[in-house]
Amino acid sequence: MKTNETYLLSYIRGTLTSSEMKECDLLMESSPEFATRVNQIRKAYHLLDNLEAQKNIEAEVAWQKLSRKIRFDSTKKIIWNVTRTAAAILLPLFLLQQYVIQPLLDNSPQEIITLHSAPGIVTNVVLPDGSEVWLNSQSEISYPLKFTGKERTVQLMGEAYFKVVSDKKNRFNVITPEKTVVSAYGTEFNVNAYKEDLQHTITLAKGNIDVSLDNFSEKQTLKPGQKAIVDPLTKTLNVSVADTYVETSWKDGKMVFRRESIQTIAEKLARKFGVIIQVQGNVSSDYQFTATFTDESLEDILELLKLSSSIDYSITSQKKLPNDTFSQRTVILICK
Amino acid sequence: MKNKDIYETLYLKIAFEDDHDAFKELFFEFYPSLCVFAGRYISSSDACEDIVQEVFFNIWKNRKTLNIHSSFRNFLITSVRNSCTDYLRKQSSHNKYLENLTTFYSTEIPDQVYTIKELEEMLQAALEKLPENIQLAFNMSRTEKMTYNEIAAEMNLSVKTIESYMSQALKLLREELKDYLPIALLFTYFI
Repeated sequence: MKTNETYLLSYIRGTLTSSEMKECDLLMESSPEFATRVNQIRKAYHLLDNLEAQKNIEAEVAWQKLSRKIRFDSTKKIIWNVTRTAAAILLPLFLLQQYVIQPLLDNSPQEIITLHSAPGIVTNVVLPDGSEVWLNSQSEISYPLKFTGKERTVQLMGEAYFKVVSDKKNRFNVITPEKTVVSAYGTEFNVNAYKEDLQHTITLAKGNIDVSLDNFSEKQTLKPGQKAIVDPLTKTLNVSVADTYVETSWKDGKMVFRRESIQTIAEKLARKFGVIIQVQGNVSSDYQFTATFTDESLEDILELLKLSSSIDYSITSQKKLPNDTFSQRTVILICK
Repeated sequence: MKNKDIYETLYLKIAFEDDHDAFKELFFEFYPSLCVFAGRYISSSDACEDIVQEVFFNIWKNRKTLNIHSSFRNFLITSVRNSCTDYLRKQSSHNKYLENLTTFYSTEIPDQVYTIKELEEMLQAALEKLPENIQLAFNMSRTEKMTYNEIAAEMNLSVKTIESYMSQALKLLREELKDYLPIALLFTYFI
């Protein structure tokens, strides 16, 4: 039997005939010398195959792929580092803003909005909490841009009708320059507190309100249909029954008088029409007027007064002042 | 191995100097041999290449913290083998995994990886001991995949002579190369 190296290689490759294969298999078991030769050829051929296989691998392509991956990874790392650094800087700043600066800002004086209603005009305002306010002529209201803290507080000079949005957690306070405080959670009420008036009237239309004087020295709770009359000079507070229609009709553009003196009517007309009214003659007469005006002009109203009572009037026209503005018109009422 | 120190030096350059060229050199040196090595465990050649690329990627990525106990070559072999184990574990076929696992845990003799350069050198050194015409016939058979008949026609010799040339070449190679590869491995993947 020829057992040269090429024959052994054919045996390893399995290309011999089946009878030759069997013969070799038997030899592998019986002859250690034969087995060693076969295995040595296997080794040699394996190394050659290994070399061939390695040569078939495209290292260049793989290198390009790996380089791209490394580049992408380092870019990712840079982005991550930048993000991390940014976070390390921004997070303390954010916390500082959130827990130090913002509370300081919150405690610092808020931006206050002040609205003034011109003579003869009723201004309707919606407050930041949604409450509605009708501001009578020549009145002023101040409120923060945003209500913060427990209480909703507004300042009022003059007269306004409030329709307060109900909020049981946050009290709504109206404070006058005389430190009268009207306090509520959600109601409708009218505050009449013109500085020049001798008495201020707070009328409750719906719900509940508390009226208190200067620093809560005196406090009264009003029921619907009641009014509190405050004397800002003597600091007294009286509660009585109110005619809410009379007290609040102004917001619908009406002037309602129920047995009012000429003095009171003169004040209201002066305020509504932005004129100066002087009452002359028999002022102390206890003549009382009852009337309702809606869209009558000042002249119409004066004419009606003249027709219905012993009152005469005269109107002086506007004068040009040295600084190019005009003076208010002056109406003189003469009580006979 | 005479190249041993070269690889360690290259690796140190990567670790301490972020030397990209050294990394590239090591990659080209070992990539093909490691892919073939991975092929012992995993049949998909794409998977093998991915695994070896991932090993190199991790070497570059962790170059500052890698702790290489033995040689760089052994580190590569261990890394690739471990990745192959992981890959097989993740493969859905459980039985196949167990089968492969027993195969390569039964081999306790350390695996060896030769680079193209090293194999070429070995082969060259062995073949140089043969007469020139035998070398020629062997290379025709091996690198150009010619049959004995084709070689016989090309060299103007009889097929019998070529067969005898090949026999001599193989005999020499088996003697020369017998110490290079552990025998236990051969039975598991060769043929």
